[in-house]
Amino acid sequence: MTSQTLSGALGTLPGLSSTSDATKRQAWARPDGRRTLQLALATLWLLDGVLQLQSFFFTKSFGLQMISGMSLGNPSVVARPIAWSATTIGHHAVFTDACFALAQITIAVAIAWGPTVKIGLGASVAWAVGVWWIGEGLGGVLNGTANPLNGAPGAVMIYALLAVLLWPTDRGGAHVPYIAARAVGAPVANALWFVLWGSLSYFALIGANRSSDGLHHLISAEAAGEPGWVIWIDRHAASLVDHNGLAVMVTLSVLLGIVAIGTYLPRAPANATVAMAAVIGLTFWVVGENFGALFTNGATDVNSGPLLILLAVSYWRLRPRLEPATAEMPLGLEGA
Amino acid sequence: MSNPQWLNDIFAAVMAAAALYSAGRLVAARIWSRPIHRDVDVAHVLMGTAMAGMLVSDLNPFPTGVWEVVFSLLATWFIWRCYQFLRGPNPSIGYHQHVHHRLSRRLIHLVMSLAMLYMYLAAAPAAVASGGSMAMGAATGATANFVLLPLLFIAALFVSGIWEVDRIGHLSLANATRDHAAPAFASMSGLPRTTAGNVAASDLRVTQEGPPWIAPRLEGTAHIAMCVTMGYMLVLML
Repeated sequence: MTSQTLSGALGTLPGLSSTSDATKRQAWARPDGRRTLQLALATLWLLDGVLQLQSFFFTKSFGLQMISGMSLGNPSVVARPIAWSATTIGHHAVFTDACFALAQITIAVAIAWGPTVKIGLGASVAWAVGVWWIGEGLGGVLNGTANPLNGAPGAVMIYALLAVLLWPTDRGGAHVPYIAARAVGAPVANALWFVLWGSLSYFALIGANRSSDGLHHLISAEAAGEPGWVIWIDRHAASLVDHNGLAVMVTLSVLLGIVAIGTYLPRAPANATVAMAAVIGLTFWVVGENFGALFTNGATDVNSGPLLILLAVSYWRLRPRLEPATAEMPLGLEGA
Repeated sequence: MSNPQWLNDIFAAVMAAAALYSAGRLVAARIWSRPIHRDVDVAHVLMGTAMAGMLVSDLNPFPTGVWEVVFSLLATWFIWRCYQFLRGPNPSIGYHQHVHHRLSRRLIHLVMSLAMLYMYLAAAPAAVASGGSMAMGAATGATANFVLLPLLFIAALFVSGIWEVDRIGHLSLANATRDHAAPAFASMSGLPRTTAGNVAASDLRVTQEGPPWIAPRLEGTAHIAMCVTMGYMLVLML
């Protein structure tokens, strides 16, 4: 073992001589916070890609029923491309679904493979926007059916948001308060958080979501095709909110609003709202989204719950670190 | 409703190739006296062969019962390996010298062994019902209530696969050689779970470059293929 290879293992190890450029390039280090979140995002893309390989998506029903249904209630300019895509997908189900799966798996690998991370993140934004329109009918935003409890305004938009926030550049300056601020800066990151959670707060109170039985019906309808223990959760949750839909949704809207504003608070209360956001995301995933309907053999993604949790992690404020100059001050200077 | 056979054929071909490659590594390591992770490669041979046989029944060399015993033993072996790691590094094992294959690698192969076992146990009743074919399908009956278990397996497999993609670009022959001393440095930098006692003097005494590890990137690629294929099969069983 040479000192050259020793220093490559750590990057910089005091007392060791110079390291060749090749060794430096090859040295593997534990991923930092942002890279870890990028890899988590890549994992979700990989799962989405493999979910796309389920048998249902190789049938005409994927296009002619699932995709086609997204056009309902949307304005003509939005609905026509969905209807055209649904027909095309339905008539070439095997080819199109194989392409969709391959695209998502490729995005996952591109994000995970260091040299192509920007390509992967850029592709995930483009893919997410396309899927949000064609595959999710803009998340029900324009037809008044959006409900944050079952994934509105569309899980795929959170993929895009995460791809932007986890972009591997540092425009946020030397002292960013949280990971999501590194790429776009704290003001923009705060604004994006506020818009997302503020819109969830708004969607909680639109249309049928305000009715006393709307929430009950929503949760009950989700139970179809689920295993027994998920149905049990749904049945009990639905009975809990029966005839109390308005009160529950108003409370939820207030909580979501607090989360939205929380990003502008000092570190401790901001972290409290971030933790609340993660808990809300988990609750959405378990109760409203039935674990992304992964057990029904018809899920194309994990839905918004895990993504909201991932987003919350990226907004967690870390305790400010000591300046290196202070931390490494020679003992002899202390107290001088 | 079943998946297109061509898709299963592709995955089966990949698994057969991975199993053959891993078998080749075992032979090459013996002939050239080069270091490999023997238990990992043996696991890849067994899992690759078994998954190819599950996807295309003509490729299945053994009955289900034999595979269940094989993967029970393999899981027990990796439990023992994890215990060995937690108890402390054993210089005679050689495994401790490779930082990329420490506890996480043992744990994921334990998970993979258990996932294989799950697939056989969950698929066996369906196979009996369908006349012996091991075709993958959604869980039914009592098995359907245990779908959280395969979901956990899937999560672990995909996390491992993605992390391997991240790491594989950094692996090279040079790195593989350097990794003989990696545990010591990893301990000094606080990276993996090691104690000061694990900064063994024997690690620090490694001052000569030994024979390089055999194709660590290809080993990683085989691992990724295993993770994705196993995840695919488990997704079909959700």
